[in-house]
Amino acid sequence: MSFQDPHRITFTTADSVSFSLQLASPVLRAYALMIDICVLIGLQVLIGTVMQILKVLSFDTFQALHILLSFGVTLGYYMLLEWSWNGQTIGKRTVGIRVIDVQACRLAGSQVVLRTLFRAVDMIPYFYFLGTVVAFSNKRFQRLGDLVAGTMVVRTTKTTQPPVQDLPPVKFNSFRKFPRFEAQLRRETSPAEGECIVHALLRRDELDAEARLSLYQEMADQIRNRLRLPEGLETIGDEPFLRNCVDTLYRDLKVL
Amino acid sequence: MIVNLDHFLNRRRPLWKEYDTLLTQLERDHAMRLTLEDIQRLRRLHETVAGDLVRVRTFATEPETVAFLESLLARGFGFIHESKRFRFRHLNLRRGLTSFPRAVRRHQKLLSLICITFLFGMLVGGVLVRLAPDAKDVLLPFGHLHGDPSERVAMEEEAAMEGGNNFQQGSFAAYLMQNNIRVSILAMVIGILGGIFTLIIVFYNGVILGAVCVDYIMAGEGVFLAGWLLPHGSVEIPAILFGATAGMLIAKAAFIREDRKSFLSRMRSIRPDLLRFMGGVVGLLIWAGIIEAFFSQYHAPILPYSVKIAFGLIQSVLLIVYLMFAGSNQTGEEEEG
Repeated sequence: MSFQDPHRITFTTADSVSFSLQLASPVLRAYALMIDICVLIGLQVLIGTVMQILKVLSFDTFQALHILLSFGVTLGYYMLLEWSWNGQTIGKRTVGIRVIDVQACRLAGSQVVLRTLFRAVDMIPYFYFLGTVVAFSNKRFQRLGDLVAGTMVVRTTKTTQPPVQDLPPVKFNSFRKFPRFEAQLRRETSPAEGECIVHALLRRDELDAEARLSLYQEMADQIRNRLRLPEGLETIGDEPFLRNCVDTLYRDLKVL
Repeated sequence: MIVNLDHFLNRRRPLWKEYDTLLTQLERDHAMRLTLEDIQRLRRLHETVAGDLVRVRTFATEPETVAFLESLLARGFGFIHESKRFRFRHLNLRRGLTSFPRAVRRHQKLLSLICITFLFGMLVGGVLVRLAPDAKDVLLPFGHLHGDPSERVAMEEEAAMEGGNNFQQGSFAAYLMQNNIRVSILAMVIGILGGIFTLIIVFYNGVILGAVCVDYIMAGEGVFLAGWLLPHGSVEIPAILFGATAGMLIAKAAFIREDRKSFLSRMRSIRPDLLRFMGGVVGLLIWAGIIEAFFSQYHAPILPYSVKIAFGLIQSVLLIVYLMFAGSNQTGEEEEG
């Protein structure tokens, strides 16, 4: 396991193949927490309302049930969901993060239980203050519960193909005449940048003409300035240039 | 070395797609059972993807494919190398019941430290109330304990003669259970801050109990006190002390570096015992809550004090015997298995 970029953690398998996961920042985790708190409040209100109605039948029994259910839901929500949803709660699923073992294995039940119980100490004195301080003080952004349970929170890494099939096909891509340039373009364009270009082209008709021209020019110039353009490609307009880029980057992946 | 990258990618994509589909199914359906053939296929696809990732990485022209394969490998790694999963059908009642006392016996030194702190707290609380009876208003957080013990006893017995206590036993039991479980969890988890707060919680609880005991004994209400506290206290107090013992276990693992082990491996080594402690504590506190609500609150003449005291004493002896001997003939492997 090694750290290259502060927000990524790299694992090496027994076969010496490495892969990396992006750590979830404390800010992202706070968003997930807020969603979970809202869900918990909703659940408590629901339980309270149902029990209020049932208390007509037997006040003591349903009051007892209300107390135990409220307590059980507070603790059980995180335990049950993280255990059965592969380290995710509703909040975590919404923001795209999940809890994993520090060695990238799946979570054991004991880890889920302990990291939930330690929320009590992470919350000291108010709203996860101690947990946040601890999280900012270590490389993996682990709160106390994570440190004890041997867990960490990462972003879910399911890479999806950009919706290139929604773009009209490129009839003629002048880049194809320059295989070395195409190879250079594919090498030096990150997946995020490629996806950004695809989305910019997809939103063509939603943008004002002026804004569209300016955006496409900026995007095309970034690529032009980075790569050495072969003769004959300098005169291509910004939009066709970007469409050719997308075709070069994704024409193979359309099969996937 | 890949001679024809396009050909290689086209040939491999169906396999990656198959692996992706299988992983998606596993992620969606937690309880999904794989056949031996499926497991073997999963493993083979994982190795294929790992191998392909190494190959494709040699081509800097495929960042998108590298990112895709990395994400597949990361998702699959957890399934291939998953830790032992909890299964209800693997639950063994005998092992479950004996693992807690075995854990208590393993950490009896820490338990002794907690007991000494608690007894010291009782001593301090008792001495304070003996020397300055007015101090109990400050020491005791419960309003109904501030008054004269004899007056409370008279009131309780009068209520019993008039037809018994008509308070809500069920909700009272539920309140006690969740409150005591909360205190025990806090006493445990706060151990990560060095154990000092765990000791403070134990000491303070000792002070309260010591103050109450001396107050009632000084008022000549020792029998009422024993009948009131013994039935549930003989389980509830040990349970909270066990929670605190787990807290000290965390403190010890966090701050005392033994055998040059890392923090992570020290924590991993105590994790099973922490769960055994919590399981035992929760079980004991549920029982204590039921006894406190449905038994302890009934006083003479409804329930003679002798019955309540005898019940409390027998329960204490049973608890001690359980903790001392349950599972003593089991081997370590039997328990871990």
